[in-house]
Amino acid sequence: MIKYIGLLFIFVTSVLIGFSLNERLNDKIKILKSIKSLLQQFKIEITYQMPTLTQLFSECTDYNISQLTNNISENLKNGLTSEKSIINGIECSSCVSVLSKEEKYFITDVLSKLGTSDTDGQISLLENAVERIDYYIENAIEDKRKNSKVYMTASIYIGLVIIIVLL
Amino acid sequence: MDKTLENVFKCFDKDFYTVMKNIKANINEVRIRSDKPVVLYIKNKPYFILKNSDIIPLEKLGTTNNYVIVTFASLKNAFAGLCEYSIYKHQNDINNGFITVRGGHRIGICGTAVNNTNNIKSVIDITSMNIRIARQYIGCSEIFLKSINIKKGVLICGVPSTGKTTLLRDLSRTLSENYYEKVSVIDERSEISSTFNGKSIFDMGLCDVYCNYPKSKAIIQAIRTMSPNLIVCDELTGDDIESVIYTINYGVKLIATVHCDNLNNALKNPSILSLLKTRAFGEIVFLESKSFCKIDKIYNLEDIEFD
Repeated sequence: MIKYIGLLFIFVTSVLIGFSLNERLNDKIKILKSIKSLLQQFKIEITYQMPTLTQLFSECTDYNISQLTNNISENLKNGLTSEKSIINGIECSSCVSVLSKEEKYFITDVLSKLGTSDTDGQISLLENAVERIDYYIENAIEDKRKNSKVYMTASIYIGLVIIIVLL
Repeated sequence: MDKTLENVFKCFDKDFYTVMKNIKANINEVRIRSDKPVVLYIKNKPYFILKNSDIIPLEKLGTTNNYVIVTFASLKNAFAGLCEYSIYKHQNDINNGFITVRGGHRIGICGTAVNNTNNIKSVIDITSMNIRIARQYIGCSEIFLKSINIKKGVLICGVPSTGKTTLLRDLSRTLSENYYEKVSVIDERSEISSTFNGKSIFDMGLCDVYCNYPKSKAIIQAIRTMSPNLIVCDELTGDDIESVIYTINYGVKLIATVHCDNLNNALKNPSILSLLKTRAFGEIVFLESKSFCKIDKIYNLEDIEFD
């Protein structure tokens, strides 16, 4: 009896692993889209209201990246420099853990350049960044399309193989 | 030291902040040059600061090596912090050589300009800063109000650091609260009221404050929409002539300031002379150059013929 429960547990765990890998692909697309939307919001605010960097991050309302923006705005309010606030904010936010090293580096670089030039420079920076994020989103969608079924199917088969071997 | 000033010095490195926090004297200005001793001005006299927060007069230069020095890197980081890491927000002011921080403190800057066909596009590598500390002296305009006739319009003249802006601040408050005048304050650089997020740090009484508006546009808007009796503005120039004439046409009196030390120089200065010729001002007041908010001379402009 215990043996069958154990085998069921192994099978369920294997399926859950496949499911979670699949979810990571979905989450990555969500986070990238949220970051794109954030940068577009920054562009509008910098053009029309010129808020401070702290205000820019405090007023973000996207739930998907709220941990990131809250961390950064808290760091800025606590007196850290903008670069340290952003690096620390990204490192301490679990929501960006689904991004690749290159994507994280790019986002850190863009956010660190906020507030370092005049309005035209900032708008140019944000427009270029949005284009690049679009490229990352396309890659992530393609990734999901290729790998989503593979993860789910593989997890079920691996679970079944383990059960058969152990039986 | 008040909180806004503490926040200014917090942008510098910790050692500098600690030294400044421990200084008890009433500082007017702090002059910081990269890799050179920091100079304080107290009652318009210069002093060096030592690392133990003691201050010594400039004549004692060379008697010690214990001066407080701010490095170029520290000055650069401090500048970013003073701009709240939002250079775009302050870009116009930076191109004009200053920024105004919360508390109304004006920080003059100089460094390396990035030019674009004779215009300054931006300023990088800041090497000097002059922090002019703003304070509110409630009641400093009382003697002033007893000596002049506000109803005729007044031009207040003085060299830098004679208290022109401080006087304007208190005049606005007193006239709106105690004399029940409808006062519009044109605060182009947010120095008079130091408004942030809709709240002014200084007590502006019952004034209507136009914060960060270009002066000329704000004067015209105020007259059209807020029906003031008096308009108060700082650092008027010849470029504001049209809006000054507008105030005459609508019977609104102006209280404004200009940089000048005596009547002869005022009459020789084309910008000031053009303002005086509009007859928008009934009196011109000169402040004492070695004091603060003290009247030196008052002239009735109706008695003066302009060429």
